[in-house]
Amino acid sequence: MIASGSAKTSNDPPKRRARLSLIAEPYALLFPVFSLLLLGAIWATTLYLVNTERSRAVQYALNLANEMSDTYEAQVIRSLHEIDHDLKLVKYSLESEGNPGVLRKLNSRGLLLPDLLFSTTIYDRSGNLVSSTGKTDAKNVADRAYFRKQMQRDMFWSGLPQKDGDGKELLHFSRRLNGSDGSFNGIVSVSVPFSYFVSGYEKSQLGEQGIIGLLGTDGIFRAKRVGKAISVGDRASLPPLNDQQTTTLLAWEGMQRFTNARKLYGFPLISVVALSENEKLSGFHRNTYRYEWTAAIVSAFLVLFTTALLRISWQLDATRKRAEQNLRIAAAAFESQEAMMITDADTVILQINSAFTESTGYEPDEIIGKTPRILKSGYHDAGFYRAMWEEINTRGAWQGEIWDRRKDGTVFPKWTTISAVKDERGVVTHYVSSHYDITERKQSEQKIKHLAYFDQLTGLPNRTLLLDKLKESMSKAQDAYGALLFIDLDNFKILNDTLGHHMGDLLLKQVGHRLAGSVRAGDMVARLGAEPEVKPSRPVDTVARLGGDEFVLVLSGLSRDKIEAASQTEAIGRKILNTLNEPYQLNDIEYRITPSIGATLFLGQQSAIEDLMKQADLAMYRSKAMGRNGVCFFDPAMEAAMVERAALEEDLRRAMEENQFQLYYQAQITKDGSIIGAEALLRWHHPKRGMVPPSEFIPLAEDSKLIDALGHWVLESACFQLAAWSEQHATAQLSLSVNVSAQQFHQHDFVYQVKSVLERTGADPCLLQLELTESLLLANMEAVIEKMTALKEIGIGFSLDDFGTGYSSLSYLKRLPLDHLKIDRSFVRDVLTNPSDAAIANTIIALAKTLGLSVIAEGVESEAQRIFLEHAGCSIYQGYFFCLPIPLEEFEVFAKKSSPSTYPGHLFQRR
Amino acid sequence: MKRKRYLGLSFFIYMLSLNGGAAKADVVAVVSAKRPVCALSRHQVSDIFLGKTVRFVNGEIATPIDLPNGSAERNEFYAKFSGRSEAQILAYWASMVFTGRGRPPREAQDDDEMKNLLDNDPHSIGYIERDKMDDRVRLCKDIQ
Repeated sequence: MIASGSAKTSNDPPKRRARLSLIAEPYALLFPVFSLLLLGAIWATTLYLVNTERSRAVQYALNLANEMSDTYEAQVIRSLHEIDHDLKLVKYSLESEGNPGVLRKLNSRGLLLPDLLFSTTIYDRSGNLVSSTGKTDAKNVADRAYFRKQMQRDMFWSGLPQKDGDGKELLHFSRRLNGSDGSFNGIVSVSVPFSYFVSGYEKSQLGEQGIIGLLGTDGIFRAKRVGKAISVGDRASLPPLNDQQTTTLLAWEGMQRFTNARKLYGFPLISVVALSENEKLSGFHRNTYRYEWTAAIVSAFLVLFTTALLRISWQLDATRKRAEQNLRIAAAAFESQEAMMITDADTVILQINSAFTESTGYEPDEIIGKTPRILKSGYHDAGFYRAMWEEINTRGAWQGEIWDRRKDGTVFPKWTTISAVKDERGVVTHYVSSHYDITERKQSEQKIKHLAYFDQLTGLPNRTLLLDKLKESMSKAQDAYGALLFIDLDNFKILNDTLGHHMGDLLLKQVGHRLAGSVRAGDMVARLGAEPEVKPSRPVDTVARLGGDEFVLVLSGLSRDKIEAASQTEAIGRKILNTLNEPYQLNDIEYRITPSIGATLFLGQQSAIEDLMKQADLAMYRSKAMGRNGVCFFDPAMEAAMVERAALEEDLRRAMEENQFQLYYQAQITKDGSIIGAEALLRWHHPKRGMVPPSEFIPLAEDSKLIDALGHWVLESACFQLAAWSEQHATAQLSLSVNVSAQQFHQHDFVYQVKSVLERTGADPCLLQLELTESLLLANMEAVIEKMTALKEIGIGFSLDDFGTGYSSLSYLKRLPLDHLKIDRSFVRDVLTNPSDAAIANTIIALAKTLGLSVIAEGVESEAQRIFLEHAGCSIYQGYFFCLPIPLEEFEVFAKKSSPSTYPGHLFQRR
Repeated sequence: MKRKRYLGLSFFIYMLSLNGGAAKADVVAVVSAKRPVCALSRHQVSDIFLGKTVRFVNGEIATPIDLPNGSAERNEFYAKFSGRSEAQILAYWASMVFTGRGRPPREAQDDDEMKNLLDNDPHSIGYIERDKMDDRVRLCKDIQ
């Protein structure tokens, strides 16, 4: 795994680099290749131009050499012919006239060659000078070669140059003079400086180093001119040039020369013209240099340019590679374990990494372009975010814990760092947020907390948490009682010793579980994870394990009445006893065990926690001492009260079974004294205690749920009575009021119960009045109205009891389908003596009138009170002044007497 | 060309200085006394003697007459009017004759013959020492 992993990571980058360089290289090579091509083109063009130029120059030189040679040849031949003409003219004149003076004559007439350059001379047969146009010191030429040759036969002859007296090198041309008999009679010669034959040198054509020359067929130059240097008698330093008609490049006289030679027709001479290659090609060389220099400079520029470009390209490439590298590093860093998110300055998400996706569940395409608000859990208020942004904006960064929502809706805590990225001017361009999920950390914190605060065996709070909770309960509940219960399993040690600790632990677990289930659902079980800061809104009970087989129960929010609180506590204690008394299944063994419970009450922080613990502990031991499987209170008086109460409750239960209850009736009288109805009142004839007042047993009945059965019995009995009364003339029109307790009325099937009772008894619903108390109406108003309306529909009337004693809300009064208001006896009692009571009575009566209700005054005890109430507008009275609550038989007698025809009587007053 | 002219100019100045210094013979260009007037620059005179032109400025034929080669007047004349030495004149005519472009002027034996020739031919032009001028010849005005 490791090997393959490392191989993969080491393989990857070079591949990428190779790919990158493949992309980069063609661009990098483009410049040099292009430059090389350009260089090649430049030099090819240059060489072509040079070549063309050269061949043109050479061609020109060749042509020039040819032309020059043509010209020179013609000039030489013409000159020779002129000389020969001169000779022939003199020869003819002499031979025809014989007078040597003819020479001067010819010359003066301008018929001879100009004597400035030429001298024409006549020698006699002995070689002696006869006559000359020039000055010559050769008085006798008999020994000269040209003289001797002319002696043999006439010929135009040119010998080698000879020096005259002045040292001038002269060329001599001659012809034989014949006598009249054809014998040798002397010669005529023309001498001319050899330089004459090279005087046609033209610098403009031949240059500084050109050559013209007259070469004898014997290979000796008669005249030669190289530039300005004139020479004679040189042996030709070049290959034989007998007839060099075509111009050739030959090396002679120190350099390469375009050379052209012509054999002169009729003369043993060769004319030679040569042009210096250097000189003639100098223009070409200059051009070549120019071309080559130009090409070289352009090439140099090109190379420099290319080099510079390459350099820049390399630098750019290097920069780009570095940037790419940085990007790769950044990308690798970005793909770290930590979840990262980058947004722009408007907090629009630009980029997230895979850790972010893993953490939040959002894929990049789902979240990019959105804002981080999509992640909001709603756990934080606006102030939290405001503070966060303020810190980011002022300090540039923020760090803290945020609860966010994943894509799947789950909420998780994360530790987040947000940094603002600013440009060089300090303006925020991006925000970078990184976070890591701290759910696990939170959980482990929770776990640690759990270890610290909870018992590991049962999962219940331990002593530490118990003390916290107890303190919390005590501080919170200032006006309601709370209770502390110590629960200890009886003879637990025996179980441990006989079946082993394992079984003991198993039992403790089950006990803990049952205890937790027996109290109000609360926080006895540790809540892990989610939902931070959720504060319990109601008092909860706490079950804790102190260790061993000792459990503790904290109850809070009990009654404000101490006895009642004790009663509640005892009831819970009993419930726990019952629960724990159930058999336990310990693996395959069914086991039974009993607990002993000690309890103590507390109100606020009146007692110290340690005292309370001690009290509960003591109570628990007392419970054990009293025979186990019971509940004991720390306060003995309270316990006595509890015992009595328990006994009474038991009696009450029996009273139902043994029919110890009885209905009494109190008449309701109109202002004319006639009876119109009665209120049914419940009485308990206790076999030992005698008559028990309702104020004592009704709360007990309510606590022990007997109230339902009792209420039902009252309603049923009243309805039977109504049905019975309808048979008799005197009572047939009487209505009967029945008190309904809150608990009874709020039973969900109360309407049905009433209807079925009416049906069963056959009582007329129109004669049945249900009396409700104000407090009953306060809870769940709508449901109350609904039930009342349903009953009203079948004719049942309603009266509101004790009006004015509680929260008399006029708004609900208006909405309820009531028939009567009853003025409470407390107002009626002092109506004559206390003005405010009188005012209240007046107000109630006026109010009832306004609402269209009739008013019944309770507790009317005197004629004066009756008169006051009558004046006030009250029309129905109930009280001792008219009639006490009396058993049925007595009431029926009273009713007959008080039927509307007879005057009502204070006669029936009885106290 | 320019260089040549400078050379000529400097040579002329040199000659002037020579004239001023040593009392050398003052050679002047002359024409036949039968010609009413003659006004030529030295250059024009030189051109006529070197065969570069065969006419006067007015279009009439001009026939130059030289004094014998090697004479002092002749050398003086060419030096003064064309700025050339004897050897240069010789080489010049060698080239002219060889290439067939011209022939040197006719020569008079001495200044007397020169004057006679001038007197006989109104188209001719020659040169003599100023002192030797007589009624057969007319001085050719040097118009520079």
